[in-house]
Amino acid sequence: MSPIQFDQIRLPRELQALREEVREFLRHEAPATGRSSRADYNAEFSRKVGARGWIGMTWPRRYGGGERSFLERYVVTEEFRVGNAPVALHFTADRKSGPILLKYAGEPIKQAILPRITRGECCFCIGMSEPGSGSDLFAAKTKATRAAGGWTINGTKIWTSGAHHANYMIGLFRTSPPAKENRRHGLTQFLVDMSRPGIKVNPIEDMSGGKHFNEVVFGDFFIPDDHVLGDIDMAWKQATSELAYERSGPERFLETIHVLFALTRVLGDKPDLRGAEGLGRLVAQLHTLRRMSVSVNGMLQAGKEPVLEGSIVKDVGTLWEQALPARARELAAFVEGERAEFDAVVRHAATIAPKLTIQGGTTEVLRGIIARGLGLR
Amino acid sequence: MNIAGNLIADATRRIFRDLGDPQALNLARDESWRAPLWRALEDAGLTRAWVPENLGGAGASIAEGFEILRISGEYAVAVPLAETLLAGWALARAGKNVPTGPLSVDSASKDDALRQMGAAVRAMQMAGALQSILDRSVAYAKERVAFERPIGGFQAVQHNLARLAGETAAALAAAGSAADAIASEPSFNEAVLLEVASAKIRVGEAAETGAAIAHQVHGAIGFSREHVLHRYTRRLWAWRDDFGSESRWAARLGASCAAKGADALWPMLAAR
Repeated sequence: MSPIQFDQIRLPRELQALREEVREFLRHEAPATGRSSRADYNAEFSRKVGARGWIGMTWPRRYGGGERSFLERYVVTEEFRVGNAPVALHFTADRKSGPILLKYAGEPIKQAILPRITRGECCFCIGMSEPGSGSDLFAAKTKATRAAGGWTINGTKIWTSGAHHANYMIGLFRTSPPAKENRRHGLTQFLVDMSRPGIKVNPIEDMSGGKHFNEVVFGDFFIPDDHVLGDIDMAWKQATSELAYERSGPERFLETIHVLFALTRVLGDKPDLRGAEGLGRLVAQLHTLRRMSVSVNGMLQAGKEPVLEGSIVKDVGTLWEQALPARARELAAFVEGERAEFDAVVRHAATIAPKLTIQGGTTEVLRGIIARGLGLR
Repeated sequence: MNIAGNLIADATRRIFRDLGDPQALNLARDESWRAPLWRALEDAGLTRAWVPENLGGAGASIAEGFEILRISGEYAVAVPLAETLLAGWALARAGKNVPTGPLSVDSASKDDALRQMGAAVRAMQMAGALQSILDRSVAYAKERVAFERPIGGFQAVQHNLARLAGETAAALAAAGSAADAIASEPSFNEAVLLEVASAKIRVGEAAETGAAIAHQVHGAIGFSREHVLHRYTRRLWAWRDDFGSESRWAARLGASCAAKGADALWPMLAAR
């Protein structure tokens, strides 16, 4: 029978108190702006989030974590997205970098860095793409050469979100040439201290006017041996179940959600049939995506490996959030009267929409992964 | 699903596998398959799963009944199992006796609870049918050779099948969630309305996209009378319209969301 399965998992009712606490917090600390602000960096905000215990929620207490469930983290993440909270300082570290350190870093590094992340004081970026390798991750050329007590890095990373704020990067560098029988061989993950000499961060402005991503140039940049994460040359084996969390989270379909709220407002309390039908379809699609996403997170929490389902959530979810501004524009086309705010929200969302099916794995790459899950590769 | 639930699912699957194989029925020259299949479903108590034992039914849970329906959708067999289940549910709910034999339900009924239950039933059958369509399309893409390789090796075909998997996933999640909501909520309340409407809308959309991809992957053979695919796709198209089309449910859901206002939208979704 087909390999797709969604267990009927709902967020436990007792998490409602946590949800209310998050909403109350956001009302005070991050009033709605009507546009996506996930990429906004706000040190004071992140420190307050850390003080509430909402960064590294699932991590061990000895590293500053909360040892809470992934479903509790889910509630916080989705309320932050819906509330447009400025999470750029801590979100990458919370979602991806922290879990990598937990798994692969040595004890002194874990003790030095993880508690700082949970306090909202430590920003991470991810050094994967290069000018000559984006989706084709294993074509990375930035080189790590053996040096006394460590490695010397030369080369360039690009599209690195948040590198201009980051204290650390987790970077993928070439330690050996690819092997004939396995072209994925030869790459190693390193912890990069961005404050050390030999690194230059050049901002790249995006089409929405944001300056969130960067080019990062390494010139004889030194990394000590204890900053190697995992086995030398074996980074390709290190893509683990965390990827399923990253692909299936609520941030994979809520990025333009404020457009739906603005649409509901502009259509009014008694929309015509066309408006009502369009709104109803969008609500049904969003509800379904959320049920899929909650289910995948619940299955992961229960120790299952819904890898195929996780990839599907990102594929279907990013396409939905990307199409939402255009769909809302159509549905509101015949609305007369006060609509300036709606138009501004849609215009801004439309300028960030193109990236949604590119960042963190393109639609094309995801569909290849899904095809593999179906046994076609 | 508990042990009893698994037994019911196994029994359903066994009966359809033995007596209701869609490919065999598709090639059958007459209707002689119909009586033995129906008798087996009746003997196993599946046709009256939602009728309590004191009214002569099997007294299965709501969840177990929906599992029977999902599996029957995988086989897309033209026997009135869903209709009889649904009629039994409605009659028992009204405290009326449930007659024996196959029953039918007016799919344009104005009774709101029956309409919601019927929509959830059709959504679950469609989700089962989509699962089967996905399996059959993937299997066909692996065996059909063109340009000297299985067509499933071509990226264009792979990406179509990945989309079909996405639509199937959405259908399973939406229909499963609606069934779960009906099983666990005390009445056909606002939460159930959101779930049922969403399922009928989203599964109906998945049926349209999914059927189109399945036909494209199968090529000409899937358009032939002798191939089994049309038994699934024609049924999907019909089920979309029963108990309210996507458009009708969307208009109702959208009007209800608009009346409550933008600020109520997210709390309503987050509570599910």
